[in-house]
Amino acid sequence: MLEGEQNLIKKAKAGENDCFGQLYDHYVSQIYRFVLLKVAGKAEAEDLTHEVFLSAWQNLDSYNFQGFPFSSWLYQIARNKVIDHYRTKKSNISFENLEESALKIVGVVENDLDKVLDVEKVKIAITKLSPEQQDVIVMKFVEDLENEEIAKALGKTEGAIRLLQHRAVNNLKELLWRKD
Amino acid sequence: MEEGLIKILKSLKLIKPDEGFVSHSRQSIIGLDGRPIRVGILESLKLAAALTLASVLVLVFASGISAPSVLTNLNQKNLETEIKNLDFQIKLGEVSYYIETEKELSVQIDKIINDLSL
Repeated sequence: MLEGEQNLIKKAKAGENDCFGQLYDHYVSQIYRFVLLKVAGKAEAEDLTHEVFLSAWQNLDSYNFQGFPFSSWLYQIARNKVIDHYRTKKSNISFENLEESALKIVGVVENDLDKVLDVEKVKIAITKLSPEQQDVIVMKFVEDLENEEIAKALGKTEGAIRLLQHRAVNNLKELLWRKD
Repeated sequence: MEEGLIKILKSLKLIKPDEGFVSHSRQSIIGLDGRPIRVGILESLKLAAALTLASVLVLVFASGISAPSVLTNLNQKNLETEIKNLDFQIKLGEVSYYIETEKELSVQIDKIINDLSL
């Protein structure tokens, strides 16, 4: 959670857009990763990320603090945007269809092609999980969120999140082993 | 295997959006002059298109009203009177033109005759 987050939100609601800008700066990478790993297309991920924050800004008055970070609300918006995206456009995701730019990861040793390929396989496999399993995998293992926050974002109990997590990991392993 | 998988998943946290995209997106949402833009980009484009169309229509109507036209009154009888007067005015104009022209011609003919007789 961003320090002084609730104060920033309060000021943003009052019209201090620079405060929303600080929220944007803090959460944009997180939301972008979440969306990218679900849609697997850089241009689509950028469009949807922009829509998430635009929607948050336009509907900020409807946000109420319930003991969880602002990101929980952003994740809810992001999930809905991705669902709407798939409703209007069915994307055929395969290793060949992925844009090259979407496959680059900052910090990965570029000479280690095996490692890069493994990462790409994992990214492809994530897109083949159910939407809820994708959510848990990304929020738990990529973003290191606590089960409590994940549960809030997904509208589920912590027990349900743990179960989802377990199934998601198993499905992911099965998909990856199958490719191997 | 699972440990390797978890390691790879954690490495995905290194993914960052392009700085150019972030800058553009942030500015378009929050606004360059510091004021919030509460309308989405698509909605603003639609609004601009609607305003442009409205302006064009206003111009069309305005040009239609200001165009030179003798028939400004929509009353049927007045329109007929105007038309008749218009014809009459045109005929009078033609007559005066012919009269003037004939005078000039007469002068020229007299001049020629005089020249020939000399």
